[in-house]
Amino acid sequence: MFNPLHIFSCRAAAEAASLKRDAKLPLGNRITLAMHLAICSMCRCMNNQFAIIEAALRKLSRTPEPDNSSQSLSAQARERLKSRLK
Amino acid sequence: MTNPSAKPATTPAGSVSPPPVDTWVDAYGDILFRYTISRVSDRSIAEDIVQETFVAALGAQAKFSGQCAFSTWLVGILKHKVLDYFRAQHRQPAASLDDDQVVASMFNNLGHWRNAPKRWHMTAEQAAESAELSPLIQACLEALPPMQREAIIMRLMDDQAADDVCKTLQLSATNLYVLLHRARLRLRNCLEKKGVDQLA
Repeated sequence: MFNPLHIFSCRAAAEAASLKRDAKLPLGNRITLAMHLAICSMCRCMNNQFAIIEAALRKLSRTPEPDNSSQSLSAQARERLKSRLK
Repeated sequence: MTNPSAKPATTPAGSVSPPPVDTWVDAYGDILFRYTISRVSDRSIAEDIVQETFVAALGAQAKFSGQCAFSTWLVGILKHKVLDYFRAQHRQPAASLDDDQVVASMFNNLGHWRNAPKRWHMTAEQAAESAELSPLIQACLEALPPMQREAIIMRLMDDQAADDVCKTLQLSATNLYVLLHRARLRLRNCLEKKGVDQLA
């Protein structure tokens, strides 16, 4: 029986799944990737993780972490900036 | 100034004056700093970039037209300063990328996973709202090698087209795709080590 795992390793599937998010995959690669994902639950997990990572990064860029000391200017930096703007 | 809908003072030319300079640091310093620290992760570099932004804004405040909020205008300047910093890090265009041993070690000689990816119990839609995920991914982002971090920030946080990222970082498309691929695999590996599959 034809088994795409034999012609498309998980390493290659990971490359294709990533590339698909940045560029248009050639038709052949798209088909091979889809077949690989259809039979490989590990790479399906990875592919979902890529989508989760993208969503999480977008959230991070929209709403930075709420106020806490590591996410705000230190008092010294604040004073330095103020004196620089005088 | 008690009316929140009060418009800023309008000059005869019809343009809007920016707020007084001595209020900038307290009103906008943290907004600018948070934007910067999520991208460069080094506090002193982030503070320098914020300072450069304020100084540039000081020189350019006559150009503020009031078409957007003043904070938005400042963030616009800041974005350019962050890109300038990224660009400066890449003065020497990389002709070829070194191997990434961390990523290489994720697969065996046959190209199979050494550690099978686990199922994360959330959808992308849930991830877009998850408060628990943000600090984890922030930490993993900081752990990426600098080129991968900058590539993934520009591509996925700033949502820039791959072509534009290539131009800024002076990379070939192929090298950019390799960096993004490695960054994704490292992020998923790092998040899994931090127990993201335990999050609901």
